[in-house]
Amino acid sequence: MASKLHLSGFRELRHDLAALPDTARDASAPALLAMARKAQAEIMTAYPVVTGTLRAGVKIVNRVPRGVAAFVTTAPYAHLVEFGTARRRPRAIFLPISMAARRASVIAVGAAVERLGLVVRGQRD
Amino acid sequence: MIDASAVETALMGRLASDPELAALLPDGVFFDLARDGATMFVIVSLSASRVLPEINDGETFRALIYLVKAVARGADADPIVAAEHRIHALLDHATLDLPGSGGALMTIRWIDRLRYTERAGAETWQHRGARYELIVTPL
Repeated sequence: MASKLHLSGFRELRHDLAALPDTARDASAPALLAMARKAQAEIMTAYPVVTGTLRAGVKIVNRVPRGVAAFVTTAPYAHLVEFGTARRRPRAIFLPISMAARRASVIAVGAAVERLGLVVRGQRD
Repeated sequence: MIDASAVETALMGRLASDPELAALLPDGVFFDLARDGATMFVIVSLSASRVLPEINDGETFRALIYLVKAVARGADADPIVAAEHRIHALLDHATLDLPGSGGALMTIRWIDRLRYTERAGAETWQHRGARYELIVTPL
């Protein structure tokens, strides 16, 4: 059972969360869900609306075994919005918001785990 | 204060001045949107920009992430594959002067690749490239 959480990035966070005691994982889940919901709202607000499919396709996926709530964009043309077409400019929306949310998630989980008395080491950006 | 426009000018200049890339994608290098009628070109677009506020109020460096992709009409893979490789050779871990930006390049690196095919009516367009991160520190 892990008694320390060493943070170095979101990928490592997902891995380390799986090794945390249940109490720590339970404590971090609300922070992750809150960050995912915030990012979902930001992306939905920033997406252009024509038919509404793009905005409706931003969803929360609750990955319970790892204690991670993730947000995804599911519209089949989301990549054409993000990276552009031959005649339309790229509109970087999902990736920058998701990058910021990942950084914020690492910080939030570190704080939640520290409140349980666990030691948190490593960078949190 | 780093002038991101000057950084972009330098980045695009690196791509536009390369004769090998120009031979592969002869319509040129454009920011965000190609000119009308272009069918083989490079697009550069800002994907993300951030500072690290935890360090020295964010004045220590600035990270700029750019989408750099080759775009070509048609299904012929050869030129666009070669262009993707050439873009990577020109940018990944390259040195780059940033005149007028107020900053100096610390590093430029490949982050992730993108590749997709777009169908627009009867036309097929291929898009291949990557996102590159430039870390710039103020002078």
